[in-house]
Amino acid sequence: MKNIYPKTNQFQHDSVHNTPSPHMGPQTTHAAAPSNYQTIKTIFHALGFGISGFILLTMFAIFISNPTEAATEIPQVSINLDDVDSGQLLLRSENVISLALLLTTDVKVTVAGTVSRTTVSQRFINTGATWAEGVYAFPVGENAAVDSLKMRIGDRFIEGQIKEKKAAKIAYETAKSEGKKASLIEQRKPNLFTNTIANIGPGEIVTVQIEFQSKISPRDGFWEMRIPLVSAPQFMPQPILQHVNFGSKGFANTASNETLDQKRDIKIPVHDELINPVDISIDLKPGFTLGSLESQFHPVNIQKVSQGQYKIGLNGPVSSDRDFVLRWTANNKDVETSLFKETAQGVDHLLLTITPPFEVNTTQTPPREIIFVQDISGSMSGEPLRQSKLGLEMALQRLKPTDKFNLVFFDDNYFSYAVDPVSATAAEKAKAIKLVRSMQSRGGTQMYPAISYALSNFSYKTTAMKQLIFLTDGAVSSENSLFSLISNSLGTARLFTIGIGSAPNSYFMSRAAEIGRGSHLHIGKTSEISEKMNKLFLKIENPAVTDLKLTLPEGFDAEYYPSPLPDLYVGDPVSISIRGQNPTGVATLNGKIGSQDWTVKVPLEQAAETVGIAKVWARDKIANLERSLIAQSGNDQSQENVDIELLRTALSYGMVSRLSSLVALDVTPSRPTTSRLIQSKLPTAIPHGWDKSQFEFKRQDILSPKLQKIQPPTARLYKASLSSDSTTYNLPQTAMNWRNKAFLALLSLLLSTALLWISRKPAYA
Amino acid sequence: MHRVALRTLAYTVMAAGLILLARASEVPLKALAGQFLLRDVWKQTLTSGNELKPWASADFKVTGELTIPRLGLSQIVLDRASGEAMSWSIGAVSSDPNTTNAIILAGHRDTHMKFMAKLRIGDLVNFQASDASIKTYKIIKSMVLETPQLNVEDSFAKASQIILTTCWPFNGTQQGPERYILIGQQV
Repeated sequence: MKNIYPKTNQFQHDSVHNTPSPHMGPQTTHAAAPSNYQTIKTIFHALGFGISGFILLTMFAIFISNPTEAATEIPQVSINLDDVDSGQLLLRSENVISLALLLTTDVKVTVAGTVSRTTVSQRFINTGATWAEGVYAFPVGENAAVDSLKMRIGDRFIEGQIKEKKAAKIAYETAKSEGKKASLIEQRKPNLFTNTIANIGPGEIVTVQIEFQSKISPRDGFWEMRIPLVSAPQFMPQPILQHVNFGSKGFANTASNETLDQKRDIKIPVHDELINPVDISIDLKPGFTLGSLESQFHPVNIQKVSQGQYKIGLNGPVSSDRDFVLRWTANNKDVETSLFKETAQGVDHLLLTITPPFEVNTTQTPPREIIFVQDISGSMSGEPLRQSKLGLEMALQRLKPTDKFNLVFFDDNYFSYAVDPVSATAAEKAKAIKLVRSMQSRGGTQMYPAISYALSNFSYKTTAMKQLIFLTDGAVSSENSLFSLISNSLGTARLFTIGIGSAPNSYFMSRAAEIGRGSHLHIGKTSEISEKMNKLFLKIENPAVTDLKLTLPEGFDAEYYPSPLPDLYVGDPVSISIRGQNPTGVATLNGKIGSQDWTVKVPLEQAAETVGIAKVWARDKIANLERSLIAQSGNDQSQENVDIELLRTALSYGMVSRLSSLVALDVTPSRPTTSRLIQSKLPTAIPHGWDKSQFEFKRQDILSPKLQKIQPPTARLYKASLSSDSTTYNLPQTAMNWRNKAFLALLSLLLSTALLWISRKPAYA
Repeated sequence: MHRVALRTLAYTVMAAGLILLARASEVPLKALAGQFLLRDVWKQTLTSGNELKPWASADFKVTGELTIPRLGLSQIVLDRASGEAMSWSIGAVSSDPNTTNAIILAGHRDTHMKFMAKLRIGDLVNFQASDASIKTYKIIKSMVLETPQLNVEDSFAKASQIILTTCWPFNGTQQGPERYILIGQQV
């Protein structure tokens, strides 16, 4: 301590006249003793020098640190595969998972009758500074069959081939046992298409094009096509870890719960200056005269190409912030019943769509018991909950005094309005609506206990129609346990799911409704609530079409799905996929509307040829097999048989499923070889038949000036593999340029000789 | 007075020229002499089976021999591609060409790897490792890289390839980032 003060003192006195000092504290205490004008002036000088010195130093520091590098840094967003609700490329580099920057999305759809074929092309760039492993993920909808994958990664061209997934997994396990880093990310959600891409170079552009086939059935009198375009965060229920201590008598004396992890950090991609431009074009051949055609959320251009063919497109690319929904109706209700055919692999495939008659006697509605389950978790906060509460209020208003109802609210916990369902008297309804209005959103999503409670809350003695109405955004990850709960505890009740908001988890909700033998309703915006809720309630207040049965003509041996056929409500179509040899004769569909018999006779020969029906059949069969798996949970043998059947179907129809995936095949065209084999900067050749508008581009044409600053990727050598580790080698500088030096040396010698000659002694001297 | 100044200048220029000539000729002389010196060490390596330093102060070892039958030439390969090693002969970029499947070699475009300009697709290239085993590769592909980095996937390297690299363009006068590479597949 003694030495420090004199030293500081010395430093102060030197510095006031020469170099500036940033340490002003001790100086002021010294200056306070002989307070005169000179000292103050010196202090001001020192201050001036100090500040200007500091500014100079800072400027120098900024100058030497590379400012251009800082400018090209683009924030990468952390994400989980479960959070993917629209086409994304997830990159993993040193165990950090981030989103690749989406440059463009292009969606082309061809609709023919009741089937559609969608081609999605997306372009991404790895803005990271290192090589990364990528997973391309795209939500393909509930009844879509993915059968084609094309990728351009830098100058590599990769095409997918359908192979059994197990083989891919064994290769991965082998690689892992050899001590290589894990590269496979398991698919968690069945409606999410994923594909792994290894070794995406820094600054490398990845173009992905997938194609899928889907079925479009008329519902409530209209056909609807939805393209998922927006990402919403989802909550994963926290695992609960319980600590128990047993006292000396064998009973637990303390128990404490703790969740294993902090709430998962969920970030929504926010790029103020960067948009995800999307372009959509649809080629619509409805096969009948249109009544109406409209885009729900986006302004579109509709062009009539010819009789019965329309082109629908956006007015230029738009920002991707909500799903794209196109709807059309027919001016003649008869077309809601249709029959299409496709012959594939020598076998006929039929798609039969029938809509039960609309006019139903609404005066004799049977008594019902309804339990509403309302999601009030954090993900519902804001507009979704407000809309959901409105919908719930509307539903309560419609109840008749003969009906019984109860309300269950849930987030991390759940609570109900009444212990047992109560009669829907005016007083009870008013009280319940008051409770609904007071609800606030909070917490995580623990659906299981709430659903479990609601399913057991019905008073089973009554013969009334039991209906569970579930209002949620479906943002949940543990879907399978919920499916088996519904499947096992449903009894005679029916589950109806209502999805609210711009991006609900429609896979979960429609599958839950399917297992719950009810139906699913999606409400996208506030203005739709009243109309859609009315429709749903009109639907479920009325007797359903039950006991549906399809009888095929004698001699036509065929397989059809779904099996068993579901219950139908007003506005629901029944869509049946049939596969068999030479369909002839008349098939009969029998059912009951209330207590009335309903019969439709279908002449099978009259089916119209349409491409894509075979894939739809295979998709329906796979969906049916997946459903039967849930019902058979616990029986390993029958589950294995289902898996074998599922894989066989997926492979023979060339479709991605839980057990089959697309394996990479290198299709990069080989460049022409010259005799001197000097090739430089040849334009990249596109494989034959590939979409040039998506796959042929120049870096500088598709990247903004900011992104162009990212270093282009290094060259690579690879085999047709999407999951291989790699090493980057720095190739040394290999030019000595000794010839130049030698030439220069000879020139100098020549020059010096010349100079010597000039400066020689004159002869006359 | 005027003459004296001119003569001084002349001698200075001459001295500079001589120094430059000496330095320039160091490269081809080293390249030429190197092959004689290294070839002896290579013979010892083959008989003993151990990789040897050619002289005590060297920071590299002799690790193999590359021969191109069609052009009738051969070059000794050193175990690293440092500046010093590459002034004497061809260097291996991958740390140990005897254990990894892909052999990546680099050499100067104006000395040891000058022959790359004459190699064609379909030409055969032999590489003899220090354990005396000889592998023959057929040139299957040529590429020009815009940056001096090359990313090699393991699945590619597993399929036994040889990769020859040098600077591009061949008659360039300046050092640049471009590299010319030839890929040979083992036959």
